[in-house]
Amino acid sequence: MFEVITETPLHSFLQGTAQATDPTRDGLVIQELGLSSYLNLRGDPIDESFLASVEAVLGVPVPTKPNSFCSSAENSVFWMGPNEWLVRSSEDASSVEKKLRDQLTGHFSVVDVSGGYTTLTLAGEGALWVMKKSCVYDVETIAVAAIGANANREGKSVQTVFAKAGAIISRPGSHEFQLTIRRSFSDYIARWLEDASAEFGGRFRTSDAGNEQPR
Amino acid sequence: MMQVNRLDSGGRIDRTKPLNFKFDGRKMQGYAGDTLASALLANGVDIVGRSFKYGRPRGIVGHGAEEPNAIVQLGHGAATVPNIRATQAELYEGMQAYSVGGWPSAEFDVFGFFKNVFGSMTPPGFYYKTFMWPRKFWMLYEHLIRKAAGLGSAPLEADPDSYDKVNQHADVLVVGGGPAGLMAALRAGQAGARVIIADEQNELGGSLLASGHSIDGVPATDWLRETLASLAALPNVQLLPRSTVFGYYDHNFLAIAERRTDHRGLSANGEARQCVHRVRVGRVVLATGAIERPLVFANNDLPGVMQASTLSTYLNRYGVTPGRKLVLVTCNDHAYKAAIDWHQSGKRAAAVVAIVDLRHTVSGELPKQARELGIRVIEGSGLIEAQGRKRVSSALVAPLSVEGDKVTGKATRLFCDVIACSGGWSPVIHLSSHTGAKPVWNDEIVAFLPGASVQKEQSAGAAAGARLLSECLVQGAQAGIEAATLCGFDLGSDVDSDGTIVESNAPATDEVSETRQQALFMVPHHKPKSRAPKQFVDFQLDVTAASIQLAAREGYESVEHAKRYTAMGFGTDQGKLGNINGMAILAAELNQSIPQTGTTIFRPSYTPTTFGAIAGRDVKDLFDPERYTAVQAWHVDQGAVFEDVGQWKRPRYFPQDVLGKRESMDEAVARECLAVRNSVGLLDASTLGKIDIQGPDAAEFINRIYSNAYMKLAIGKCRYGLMLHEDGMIFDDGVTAHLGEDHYLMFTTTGGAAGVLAWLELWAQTEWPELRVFFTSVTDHWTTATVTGPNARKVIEKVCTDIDLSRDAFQFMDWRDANVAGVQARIFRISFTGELTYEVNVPAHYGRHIWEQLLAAGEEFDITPYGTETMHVLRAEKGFIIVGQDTDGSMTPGDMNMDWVVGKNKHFSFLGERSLARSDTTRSMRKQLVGLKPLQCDTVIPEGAQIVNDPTEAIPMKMQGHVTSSYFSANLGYSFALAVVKGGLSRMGETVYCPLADGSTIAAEIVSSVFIDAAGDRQNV
Repeated sequence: MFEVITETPLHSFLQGTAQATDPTRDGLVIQELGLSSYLNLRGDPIDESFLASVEAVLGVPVPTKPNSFCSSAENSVFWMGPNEWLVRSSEDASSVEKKLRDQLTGHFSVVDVSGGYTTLTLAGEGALWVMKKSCVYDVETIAVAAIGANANREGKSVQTVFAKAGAIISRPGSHEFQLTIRRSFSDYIARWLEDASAEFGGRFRTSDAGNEQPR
Repeated sequence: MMQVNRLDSGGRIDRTKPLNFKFDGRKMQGYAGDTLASALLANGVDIVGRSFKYGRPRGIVGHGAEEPNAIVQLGHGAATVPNIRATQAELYEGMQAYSVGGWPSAEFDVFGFFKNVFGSMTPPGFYYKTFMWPRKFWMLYEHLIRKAAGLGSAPLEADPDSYDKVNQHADVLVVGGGPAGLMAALRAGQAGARVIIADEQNELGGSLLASGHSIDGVPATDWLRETLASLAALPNVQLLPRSTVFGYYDHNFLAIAERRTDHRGLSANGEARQCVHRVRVGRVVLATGAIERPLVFANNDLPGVMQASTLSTYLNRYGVTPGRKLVLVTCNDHAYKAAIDWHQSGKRAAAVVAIVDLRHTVSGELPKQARELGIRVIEGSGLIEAQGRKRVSSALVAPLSVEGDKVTGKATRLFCDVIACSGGWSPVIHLSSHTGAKPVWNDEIVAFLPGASVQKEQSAGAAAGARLLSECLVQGAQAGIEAATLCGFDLGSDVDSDGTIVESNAPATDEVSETRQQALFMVPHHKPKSRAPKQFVDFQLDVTAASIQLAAREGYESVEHAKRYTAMGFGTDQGKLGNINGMAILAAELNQSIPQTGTTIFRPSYTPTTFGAIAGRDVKDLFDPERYTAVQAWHVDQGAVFEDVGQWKRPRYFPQDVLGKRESMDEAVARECLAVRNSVGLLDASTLGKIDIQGPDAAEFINRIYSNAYMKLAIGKCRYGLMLHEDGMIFDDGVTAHLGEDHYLMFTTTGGAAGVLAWLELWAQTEWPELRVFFTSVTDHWTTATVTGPNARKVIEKVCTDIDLSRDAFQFMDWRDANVAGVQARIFRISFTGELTYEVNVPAHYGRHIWEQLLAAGEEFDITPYGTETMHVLRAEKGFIIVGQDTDGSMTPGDMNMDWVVGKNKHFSFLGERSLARSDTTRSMRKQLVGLKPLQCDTVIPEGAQIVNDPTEAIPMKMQGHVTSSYFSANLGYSFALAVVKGGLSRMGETVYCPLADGSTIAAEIVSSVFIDAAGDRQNV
């Protein structure tokens, strides 16, 4: 049999960087979360049954307000457009997809895009300034909203340009930002962050979860 | 050198911190808090440069951004900085500054030579008139002129410093940290607005830094300290000193250049040297102040002549008296302050010789104070000429007419070494002008004021025409409250019945009132302009009153024409001192008013901005994103040579060490090509665009987008398609697979992926909203490993056992879900090499795993990783096109000999169909894709080579087409090419010619575009 190995998008990058040792002393810690499931969901936001079915499967409402997300401990749903959402889940992508397909009717689209995304957190005193250096959006106005366990059920997230790539940005703490980015741009963004955070003593840290098989 | 002109006390310099510096190699000393200009004046340096055109000695005339003469170069080598105004360069220990006017040296300069040869007759338009003949010499002339007239030199080495950019958002941006700006920031900040206040000087305060007034009963500098403390205590206010707002763009977007380390030395020591703040704000308060206008008189460019406020600033802020004997010439009360400051400076032997007032009636409070101090005031007279060689030594003063336009009596000579002048004040309306607001002339204050706002901005203080400190404070406070209120912050202010905000808490000052100034710009001379000693308008570009007169006489009556003819205002100082005087002189020549003459338009940058700061961190490997596949690290480890495909990095080839020697590209590509055709190769095809398409109308939609039919494509099957624009021209191609009910996967070209997705959304959203279909980009999700070659099946069999891989069970153009090396994968039997091919797709986090497993499985077959160059050769051997290489946006499917991809019987039209029936697209002799076989079998025709029928034909030759792809084929044993040739498909066997730039010609035979396996058997095994 084959020993299956998985790698997060920043796997190779992180092997070549100094690791943060003491997060309380480092001015900025940049961390790649471990592998998660990502699914792109499209459907009609006016169709009550669509919204109800998705909520029934994911346990969180579908955000219909632009630039917002809804989340629970397991699932986060980010508004990407009037009829498009990105679901981040700690559950296996194929089982989420199957449950959605079983539940949904009519015209919709569910696509597993787990290989295409990764999520970074920036935490520390320098985080806000690094965001301002990287992003034309007024990040100061993003209200703090925790994601995941103990989360506000709804919070602000924005899709915008980050450096010269794209990112979905949310703000779990006043000095903490979360970026969901595309895999192919992740090395570029990591190099950008390494450079932008240098003045604050920025360091990278691999996820506690490490590179593990997505559940 | 001694600081001969330094006062013993006073000013904001720190006499306990001496700083050593060099100017043109001479050692000098200044103090912390000095600018280079104040230190030079303290050291008694008169000449800081030579003038642009006439090589005349020039001294410091200003104390800020307006300085036209003291332009210096700092340091040597890579970090050297040209184009620095000495008046804005903070002194630091070890500064090395060089004057830049004059070549080959400040001592002997070429223009001194010109001056001797041509006398003083170097009229405007001189360069165009003189150096345009003989025409071919212009290049040489231009080179020398630029060298001689240059304002410094750019470093030849890469800039060792780094720069930064930051995006800022605020409710209110206050530009300028003088009295008005500080009050605006304070009031807006107190109201709770997010405020940024930027000022170009090293400390905020503006005119308060050199003011002798008291505010609310305390010295202005004390009030300033308290106000800054109040501002610093507000967390919503950001103070940006050393920050020049250099551009005001649309949508209240402004750019600020913050100088972070320039005041510490040439090296930034790893920090960002400068940072450009890209600021988007709700309201802007322009509190940019005003610049004192010089008066135009004969020899007014002699070192020792400066503005009255400049004199006050050097006295009060820097403790420097730049001379011994002062003559002040003015048309207003305000300038008297400079003489009073001078008189009270306490400097030994410093005396005010006289104040020459152009006005016949002088009755103001300040003149009264001057007289009480015993200063001689000469009324109704003008300083008509400065005299001296390298510095002012005397002034000629003569009575003037009441209008000030004629000398009415005999001149008397006053001995002096400093002449301070004031022609009034010009509000700094540059930023307002950037927005497109048209400046408005105001006769009362004799200046242009900011025009009606076209953006969400307002001017306050001296920038809005205020003359007194008290007015500036009130206007600033009102502007701050108003800006905050308009942004939704309420300070609970009183509002007048007409809507004006009442500022009742404005600080009080000890100023006296001032009487009206006379609108005079130029002091006449006994001789006419053309005969009098030069009367300078624009110091930096040596524009004189006579040259403006000449421009008007030669018909350059529009201010824009006169400006270009004389070069007035074209310098790096943008005519901050001279433009208004020049316009006034032009207006007088044309017998019209200044508003009739108009003004020129200011454009960004307000002061020159370093390119590095504009680039920020978007340089080197961060200049543009590099996109990587999941296998990138492996490619790098293998020593792949990369090629840019859009933003992607793709391995171009994998050079190996053969007998201790690194393969060349040709060698590597030959090896890789042979390996694929003879055994098996492996390609990372992950960069191909991939779009997931779902919905009940997905098939119908795809059918309309592609030129060929898709309605009957069965689940489990793939089909190659061409995408056309409405004009019938090919713009993308690729395979689309039918994944399941109402579910498809479309492959696009690597470079076309984003454009295709946008194209699909465009048609779905705007033209065919009735079709129920959704698209999702899955490019990044999948890693695609292409196993291709006669042994491909044997490799796949070793890692995939859960499906039947036999030829008939899993056919060419089928796809299957399968488990590959323990991972759920999709395998497509599609081929870009013409060989037996399996494209294995897995989610990208398994990408490296699947790649290594395929390599291991293929080891016994010498599986060979190959790059894009090999891919190109292999597909060209099969005549497969690459959109964008073999097509160029003017090629139809028919031109590419691909009519087989055009569905003739679709029930609904497809994009581009109608255009395929146009007379031009159906005509014969269109350029068609063919193969070319060079007669010399190892000659590779350069791609892009033009094709002609007759190589001996005279130029212009009749072009038959061009070569689109060209390679040497190791498989064929000869070189070959794809080309588009007029009527090419009916010209098989003909010989055509490619004349090259070096004069040689390559002859080639027109052949089929398919060089290998014309029947297509190899991919079907």
